[in-house]
Amino acid sequence: MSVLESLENYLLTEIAVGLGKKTLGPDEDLLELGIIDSLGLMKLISFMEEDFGIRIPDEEVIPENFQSLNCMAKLVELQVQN
Amino acid sequence: MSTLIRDMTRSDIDRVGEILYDAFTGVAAKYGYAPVMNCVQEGKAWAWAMSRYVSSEGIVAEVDGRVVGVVFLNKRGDVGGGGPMAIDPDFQGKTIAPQLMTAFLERGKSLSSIRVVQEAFNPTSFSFQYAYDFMPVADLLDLVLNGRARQCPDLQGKVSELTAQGLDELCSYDMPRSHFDRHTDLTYYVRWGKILVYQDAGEIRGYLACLPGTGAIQLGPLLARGEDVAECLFTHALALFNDRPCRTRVMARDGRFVRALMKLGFRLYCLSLLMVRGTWRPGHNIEAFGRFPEGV
Ligand SMILES: CC(C)(COP(=O)(O)OP(=O)(O)OC[C@H]1O[C@@H](n2cnc3c(N)ncnc32)[C@H](O)[C@@H]1OP(=O)(O)O)[C@@H](O)C(=O)NCCC(=O)NCCS
Repeated sequence: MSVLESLENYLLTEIAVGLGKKTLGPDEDLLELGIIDSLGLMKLISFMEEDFGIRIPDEEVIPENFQSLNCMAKLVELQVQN
Repeated sequence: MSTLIRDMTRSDIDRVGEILYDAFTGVAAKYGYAPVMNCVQEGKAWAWAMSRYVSSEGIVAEVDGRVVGVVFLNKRGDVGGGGPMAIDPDFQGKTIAPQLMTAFLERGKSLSSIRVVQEAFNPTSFSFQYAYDFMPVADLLDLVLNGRARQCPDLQGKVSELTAQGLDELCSYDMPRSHFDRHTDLTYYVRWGKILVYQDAGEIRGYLACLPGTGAIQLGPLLARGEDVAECLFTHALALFNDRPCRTRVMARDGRFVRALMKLGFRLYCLSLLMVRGTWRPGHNIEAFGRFPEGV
């Protein structure tokens, strides 16, 4: 499963439950849609750290990095390289 | 049955989320109130957020290797915030809560005061906290607004959105008035929500923090000099989050402000009590309270 698919799968099953979403577009604004919020985000970060074996530093925990699936996938790639 | 009280760890978080969900939806259902969480994932998200929140410390109770209770302490300078506290409904009434409370108070013993907010419809929690010298110091109203606000009058350019650069100035305004250090909270709200600041002739007269939370936007904390400033900040926030459900918790004593919020479309969800152990008391400003990270 690609990073993008894995993130989408997690968001749909663990975070966006009850919102009636079956798929998420790679560039859909997840913050604007209310799919990720201040509480759900922390859980998502922990999933990303565990599943991809990365550590997301505090300075990267900014809305721009979690706006869409593509932004998150970029963040993961960057942290994997580091 | 022997109970182990220990620090919460990462592997406890999902289980703690289940307990928050079961305990809070259980008590709401018992007294005929709508659930504050729609699914267990919301409880888990809350637990993850509390556990990663820098100034929050979690303590859990474990029975036969299974976590059955939790309480969080948020230290803010000399004054702490307690909660959420919850016991798995199957383990309530079995002296686990007193053991957790003792550990919690030991952890916060250097603080001059600890505040907790608790829903007034829950007499078990009230008498429990009262037994540990938490005294009710203010009646709060939990208000909800589902959807569009009824009116958005013209604003005169006095409200602006705070950026990270303005944080120190806002803390200097907040600290002498709220009497506790909310720097960590305010930094979090700027990053993940919005802080609206009301300024008049270059002087801060109030602010309102807004945080998108699961299901609804949390409006609060608010600190404002006078009802007009508070109302203006809320009106601005509602215009900003147009059409999204909002929640807030305000003091019942601020009658004029409460009526203004009702006119904007807010409805009463329930009464709550601000309980304090120690010397801290609310000041004379208009205040509103958030749910995260202070808990219930
Ligand atoms: C609130 C809560 C944590 C308390 O846990 P609990 O296991 O139900 O509590 P206990 O049964 O041990 O204690 C409550 C009762 O014991 C009494 N009690 C406990 N310790 C006491 C003490 N040291 N001295 C005197 N009385 C004491 C309380 O007065 C209360 O009695 P009453 O309900 O008969 O009037 C639990 O009910 C819960 O999870 N509720 C839902 C979530 C919630 O409301 N959280 C609190 C707000 S953050």
